[in-house]
Amino acid sequence: MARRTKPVVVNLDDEFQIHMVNDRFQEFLHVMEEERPVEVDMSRVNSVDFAGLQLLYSLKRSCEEKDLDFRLSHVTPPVEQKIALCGLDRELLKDGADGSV
Amino acid sequence: MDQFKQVFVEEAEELLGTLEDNLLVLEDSPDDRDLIDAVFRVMHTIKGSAAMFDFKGIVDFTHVVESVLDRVRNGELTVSHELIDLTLKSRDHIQSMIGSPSDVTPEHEATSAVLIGALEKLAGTEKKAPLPSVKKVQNDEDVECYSLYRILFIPDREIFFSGTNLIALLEELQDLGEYSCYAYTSSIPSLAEYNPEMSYIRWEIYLTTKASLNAVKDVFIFVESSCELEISSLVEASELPDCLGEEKRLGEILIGRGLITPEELSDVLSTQKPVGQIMMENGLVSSTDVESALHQQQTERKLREKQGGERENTIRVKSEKLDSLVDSVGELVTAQARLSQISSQYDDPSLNALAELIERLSTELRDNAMGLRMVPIGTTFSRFKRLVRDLSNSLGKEMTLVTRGGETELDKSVIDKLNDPLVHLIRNSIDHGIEAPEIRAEAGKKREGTVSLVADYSGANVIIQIKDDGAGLDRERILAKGREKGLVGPDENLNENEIFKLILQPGFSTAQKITDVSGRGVGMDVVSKEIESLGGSIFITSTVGKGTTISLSLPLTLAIIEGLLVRIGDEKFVIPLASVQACLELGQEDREAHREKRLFPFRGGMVPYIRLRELFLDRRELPDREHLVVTQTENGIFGIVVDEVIGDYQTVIKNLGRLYKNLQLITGATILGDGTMALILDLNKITALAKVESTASL
Repeated sequence: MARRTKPVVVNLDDEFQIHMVNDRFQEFLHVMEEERPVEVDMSRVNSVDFAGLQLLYSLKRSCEEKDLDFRLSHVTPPVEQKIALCGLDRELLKDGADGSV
Repeated sequence: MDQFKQVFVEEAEELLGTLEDNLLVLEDSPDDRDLIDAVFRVMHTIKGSAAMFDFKGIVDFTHVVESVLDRVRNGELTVSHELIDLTLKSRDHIQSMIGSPSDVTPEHEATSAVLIGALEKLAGTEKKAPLPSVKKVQNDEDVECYSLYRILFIPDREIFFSGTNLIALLEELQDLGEYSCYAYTSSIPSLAEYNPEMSYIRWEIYLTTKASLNAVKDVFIFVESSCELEISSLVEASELPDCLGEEKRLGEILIGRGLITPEELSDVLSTQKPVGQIMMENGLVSSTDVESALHQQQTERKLREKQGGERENTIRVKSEKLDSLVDSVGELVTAQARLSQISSQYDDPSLNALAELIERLSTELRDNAMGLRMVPIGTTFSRFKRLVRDLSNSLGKEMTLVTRGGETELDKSVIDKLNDPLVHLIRNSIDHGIEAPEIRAEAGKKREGTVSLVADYSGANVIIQIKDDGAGLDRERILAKGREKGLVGPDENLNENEIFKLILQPGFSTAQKITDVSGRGVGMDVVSKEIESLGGSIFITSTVGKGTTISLSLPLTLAIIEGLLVRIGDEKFVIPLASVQACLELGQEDREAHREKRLFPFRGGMVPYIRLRELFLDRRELPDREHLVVTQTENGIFGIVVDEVIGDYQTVIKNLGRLYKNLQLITGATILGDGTMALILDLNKITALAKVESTASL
């Protein structure tokens, strides 16, 4: 069962695309070192590509391996549509994802 | 991202070249479905690629062209001269936009508007088309029933490097109909093993659509070489009842409830009867008809697989990298020559064996490296189809361009420099050679003139011929003009080739009028100089009323040649081995026998010769025995007298630099194994001198 401690909140910017995934990847690695649940605040994200979504999935998988909670919060409608389009809605939005802004 | 954009520009340029070729062939074969499909695919690919980089102006414009071509593909529009003309202009316009540093300029927008208006008028769709960036144009009204497709789509790991936007691609697919996507995420690793620039996803997509299988495949056109893709039609359109929507939704509901898997649904659906079987049972077709159709389907699939395989076996390399490789190989060949020379001075079997091995390997490496730079000349030839077409229209002449030997390969650096001379020669043939249709008809010729471009190998050279069946050259008029200009002496007799070659002299023209076609670009004297700078030569034949043939003889490569190393005094020279016919001894007796005439008996005839020692002003005494190298040149067979023939030599050609650019008789230099230099002789120039001397002595 996932540990219930205060999550680390990661805030993403307006765009989350291929040209910034390397920086975010490094940031996510640091986040995982804290051994705490992870919440990714998507409220400011309006544009995302598959490289970005796939990185989010990898972060989720990392959390699962360490038995840590993971959730996307404040997912904006355009991003939600793209997650569904890629068939990742069941994985990224089903548990604890919060569609409200 | 800039490097991705550069790749886009390079690929788009290549695609536009293919498009031009296909359009020109399509004009002659307007019913060729494969060509129509190919033209459509190119436009679709350019649009999709441009969308990835947000070149909205290009996307919007290509969308309209693509829509018109789609109507052609669907049989709603026929291929006409006007359609080809507009599509060619659209192609040029796209090329101009691609070459622009920004997306589009106001001038581009104005041209787009004009072309779009003309295209829509032609297609009968004169209302403004909606222009979503990468939305697929649907032709729902053409297809009466739905089909269900299962699409297995596995992007390559490196797909992001090509700039592919996978979400845009899925959106395009979604626009075709009802769309369900299943992502297989098991290959996506946790962060510890993750590379953020790699793709790990595998998708299985179910699409219910009125669109044809081709339309679905078109979505993947520009990623087909960078993914694994399998599109299967689970249920044919004609097999589906009108209530397809309900059945489809039922399957989705069952999957959504977790009662069945997508695989189980597909298994069930695939057990339905194939369309062929139903048609046979209804007596619509025979079993042979079905077998024949299935055979065609399998053949086409194999062909596509084969084409896909060929694509995967090629790799795009910048020509600068090949130049650098050839330079390195050149240095290696020089170093190897030095090693061979040093090893020959020591009686060491191990060293000699090693030197021989390195010589063999460097020869292999040289041939392979040179092979990489060899390019078929057909690509250059195909560009001239457009030139001939446009000139035909502007000059009101009827013409066809025939090309043969397009597979003949030449070094890329030679081909690059050949474009301008060929353009000028073709323009001249069309403007001055080919007569107006009425004049041709009066002369009993076909109204349509023909210009032929023919390439073929000839030893270490390639011969390119530009032939026309036009009026031909007026030998007497050219000779008279030559005498008038003082280029030919009053008593000088010239053979036919020499007379015709007068037209290569600067300022020499017998044309009655100067047109904007032949008045532009390089003149014939510049053509001649450019061919000479490539180490080539020109030969002209012509018959009045029948036409003219201009033959260009060009070396296969400008980088490394096989040479014959010779010595005069203390200096060494290289004679291109491809020109050498024989090496003979020239003793005191022979010298005495033909002292005045400088002729030497060879294969039943007398061959004129020139002594290099005299040519290079070496006034030392002649050795007892000299050597005569018999060479075949554009001036005929000539002998070159040297002190000693040393042997064959792999010659890495080095330019002499700008200071020596006007040096006659020498084409370049090479570094020998001992570090000294040898000059490479220009046989055509030297033998031209020999010819003058032997004529004078006669």
